[in-house]
Amino acid sequence: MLLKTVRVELHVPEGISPAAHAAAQRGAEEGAVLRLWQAGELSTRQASEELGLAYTEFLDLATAYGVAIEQGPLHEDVIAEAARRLRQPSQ
Amino acid sequence: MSLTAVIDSNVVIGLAKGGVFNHLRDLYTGLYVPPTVVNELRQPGQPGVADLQKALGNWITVQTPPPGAAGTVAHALAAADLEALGLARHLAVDHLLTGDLRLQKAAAANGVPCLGAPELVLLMKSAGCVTAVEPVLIRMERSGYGIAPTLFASILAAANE
Repeated sequence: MLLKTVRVELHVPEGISPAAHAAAQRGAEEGAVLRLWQAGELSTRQASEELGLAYTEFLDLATAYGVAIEQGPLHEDVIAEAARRLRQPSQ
Repeated sequence: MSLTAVIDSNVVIGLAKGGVFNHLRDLYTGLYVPPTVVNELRQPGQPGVADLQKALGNWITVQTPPPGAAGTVAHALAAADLEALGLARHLAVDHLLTGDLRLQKAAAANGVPCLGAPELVLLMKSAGCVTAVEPVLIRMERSGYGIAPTLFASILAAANE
């Protein structure tokens, strides 16, 4: 059961075709969800559900929009500690 | 010394696109995945699916966390996110392997360190599994696994490349 929580209300000028309106509406929803995901306000799974996409489809959508899938930050302390432990001989 | 981790879908996909997924077994002696992640990566032909299927039951173990294992999470998350975080907490692993910023925030609030796919490539270089990170990161990007320019540059700098 998908529960959409991000809603975008798009108003367009008169004379815009229903198909163009629908495409613009979809684009606006995708843009809003991608921005929230990029900001870390939605997880990938939440964002996928919002747009009715599978997990991998959402990652493909981000790529299509030129949005990085990996945004950081670099966890240098975690990497340094892991590298240190990997260098220790096995007990 | 041994490291243990729970792995999320995005890291499976990212490392597979970089062609370095199998090096995870050189870093971690215990790797676990919740069933929800396995279910997300079932469609044949998609990046990471074949790699994960080969590893399951071999060097990656599927495990379901007990109910409520994620503890109190201030951040709203999807059920599968909670399962990954819950399994990491339940097993007290060293890392939750995910590049999902939202999930990373929730994990940090619960004291669970996280690493994403590009960071693991850096760790692979440190462990001698790859000779350079840049070609791997470029392969990931060219395969559609985008890395933010600041993160890309930080990793190259940390790798002295």
